Amino acid sequence: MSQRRVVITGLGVVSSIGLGRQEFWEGLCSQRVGLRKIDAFDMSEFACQVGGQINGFKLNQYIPRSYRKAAKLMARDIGMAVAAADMAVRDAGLVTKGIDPENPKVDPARLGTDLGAGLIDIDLDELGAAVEQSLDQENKFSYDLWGKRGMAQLTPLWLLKFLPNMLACHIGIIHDAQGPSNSVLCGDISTHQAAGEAYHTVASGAADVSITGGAHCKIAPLGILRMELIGQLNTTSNDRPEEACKPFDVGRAGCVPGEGAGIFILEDLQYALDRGAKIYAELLGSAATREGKNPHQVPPSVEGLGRAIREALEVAKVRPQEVSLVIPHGLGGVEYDLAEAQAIKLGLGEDKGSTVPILPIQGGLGNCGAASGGLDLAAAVLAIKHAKIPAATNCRQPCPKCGLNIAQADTSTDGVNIALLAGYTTGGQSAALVIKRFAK
Amino acid sequence: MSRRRVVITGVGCVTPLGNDIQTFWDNLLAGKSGMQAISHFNAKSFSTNFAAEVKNFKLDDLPKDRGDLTYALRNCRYAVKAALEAWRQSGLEVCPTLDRNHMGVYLGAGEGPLDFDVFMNAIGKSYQPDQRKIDARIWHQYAAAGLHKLRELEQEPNTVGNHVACVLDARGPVFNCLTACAASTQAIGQATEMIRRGEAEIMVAGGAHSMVHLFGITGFIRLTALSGDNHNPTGASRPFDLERNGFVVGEGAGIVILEEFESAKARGATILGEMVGYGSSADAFRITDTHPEGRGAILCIKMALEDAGLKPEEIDYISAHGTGTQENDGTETLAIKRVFGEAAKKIPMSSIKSMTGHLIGAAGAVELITCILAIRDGIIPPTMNLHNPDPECDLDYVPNQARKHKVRIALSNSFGFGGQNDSLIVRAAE
Repeated sequence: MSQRRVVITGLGVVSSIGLGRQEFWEGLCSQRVGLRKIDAFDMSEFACQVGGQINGFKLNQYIPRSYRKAAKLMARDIGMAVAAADMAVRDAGLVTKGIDPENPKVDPARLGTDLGAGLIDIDLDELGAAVEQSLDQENKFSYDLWGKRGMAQLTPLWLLKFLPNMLACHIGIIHDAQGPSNSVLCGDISTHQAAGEAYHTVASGAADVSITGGAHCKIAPLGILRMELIGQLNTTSNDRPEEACKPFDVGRAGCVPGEGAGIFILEDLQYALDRGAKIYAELLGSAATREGKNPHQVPPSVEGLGRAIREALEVAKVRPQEVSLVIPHGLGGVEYDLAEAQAIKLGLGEDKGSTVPILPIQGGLGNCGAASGGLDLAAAVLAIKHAKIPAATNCRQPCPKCGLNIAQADTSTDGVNIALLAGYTTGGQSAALVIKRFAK
Repeated sequence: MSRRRVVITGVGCVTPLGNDIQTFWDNLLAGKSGMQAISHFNAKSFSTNFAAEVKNFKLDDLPKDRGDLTYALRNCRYAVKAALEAWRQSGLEVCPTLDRNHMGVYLGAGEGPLDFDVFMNAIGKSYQPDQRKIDARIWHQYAAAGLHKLRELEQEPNTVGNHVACVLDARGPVFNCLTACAASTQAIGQATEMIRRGEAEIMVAGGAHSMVHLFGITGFIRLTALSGDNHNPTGASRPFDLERNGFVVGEGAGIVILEEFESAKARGATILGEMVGYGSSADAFRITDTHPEGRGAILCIKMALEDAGLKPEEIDYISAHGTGTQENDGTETLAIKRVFGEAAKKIPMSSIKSMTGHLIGAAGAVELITCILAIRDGIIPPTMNLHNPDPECDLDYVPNQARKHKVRIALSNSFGFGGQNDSLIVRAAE
């Protein structure tokens, strides 16, 4: 059965190193660090007080005037996704209902959405007012009082603020995307998997265009505490936020929380050519695996991630020798990065794995959870567009035990033809995605 | 080139009507109700204080050394039990040629319930009314002391799939989608596509969810989506009835084993049915309401029919989304009439949510299993509590009594919050 070719024609980025693809790329090229002391709330009791917190992001400008009322129902994850989708749709020159309500040029039934999302952290301040009404005489939370008067403090639409499919739903409403719609929740590979699925939606002909990518805010008390409990965070750099995350560096000491969104327009090649769209890259395929007897497995399974890389290349009909760039997960943990390095070498072969340029981006962004794959994909697409591999942020002394060729200022390149993304989750899942510079 | 065919070789469930397929099916056909006062937490003062909970649940007979379930939450435990039942029925447990690298998991599993006692008290201790904010320092003290790292990790929806993969030793792709009330329908549809494309030979697919927790019940009460018939829980879910006044939250899991047809046949598996159609769409209308003319539902059912290469009148049974809310049941009826035209009134369509409640993310999988059992036994479950027909809802909803009816092809619909629509079509084994 002949498959349609699928190309990337637009991208939008919300990140702590820049808003929009241009600023994001400049950030990558200048090794900008988006990590800072988190001031969204008082972090002084938290073991790690540093994160990739985005400042200066104003949601309203990215929402059509007629839909701005809904902004108050958008948790930060949703808002970042909506904004990045707006950028991506405009970047692609796609005339949806969100761009021109009177005269849209996309068939809504042929426009899909497939988003990677995380569990959305519930606003604790908002809950506080309701809990306050529900404390008994001993100052303990009482279910009885919650039922009698606490829950009434919550806005009627409270639940809809943090349903994870709301990223796709709001984007769908704004742009009138009525085609196939999915929301993947698989930890840090959510967006790898969502983009892989969106590829098939378009390749199979179920839709002509799919808005894909992901968004996640991990800068929230509960989200950060969970990372703290599991022991992933770097707790030693609170006074040097700019050096808090050092993927594959000898001095790496854990990850830090981040937030962001990367959203893409995927479309059928012929559809893109017919409407005269510019084409950034071609998506060739993806693969996912799981390994290990432990459902809470960390760090990644070397065998599982290695196999995901191999299988993704097979699906993409690309030989390991042809890969010009790898964007790893690069969490910045001692054992995590070591296992990932071994997996890259297992997947690509020892020689290729230790020589291919590797560009970890969490050193500037922190861990953006379910959005990781979206930001990785943005970096890969832009590296192809600009035919350049920026030096990795915060990896000046690549770890010899990892033995990877981490991109440095003097890393030479003849342009970027094929880029590979690798990702993994807590729990043993792995995923890989392959894109290629577009050629007819 | 013809595409690869996908068949079902095992089914398993945990539901408010029973924790295995046979008990569930017997109770469903007998028109029993799974509703009762909420026992998972103290909801006595809530404007809706009942739900359809799983009862007498035990997770035993687990394979050894396949993952620590100590902190696994309800939804995950339900999923593991249902997966084992389906797996054992499929005969794959004893299949010597199993290729585990091409055996995956695709679930529509929901969030695990928060550790509410710790979480809410940490908020209570730290809230500063004058600033209308929590003091994150105090919050951290209480939360960090009370929350357990694995108990927290278990709330991530993908942990459910990872547990199932561990228990069954699946090493292929493990996915989880969470598209509200359509999640497990979508998961089974996507898993079917993965086998069709050759990414996997076997998929363990379905969903597991329990929103019978503090925030689930609270959220739905605030949305005014629930029936508040506290005096009459068993009669509260009344899909398509004129007097319907909201849905009842349920919980549970439904899992199917999907396999590529030729290899299932070659190993002599008992084939329970074939997945022939899948459709997915979005209303793209409002996050609070479904499209009044059922735009998304119509598109999605049409996509499933087209995918299956079937004409509407070839459908013998429809498992309705049928939540029992004013809005859903009217719109759903309208959508069915738009797609099926004259045939609409001749095709029996029932809602098991009248008995099971709404299993949210897990609903679609359990309803697809209902279709498979209807095909197997030639009998369809009723829509219970339908005593006052609504003039707007004028289809054959199989009121109040199971009916003998030969079913060769069945359609199962799920329409979720936010306007997520998914449809599956299953056909008798051929």
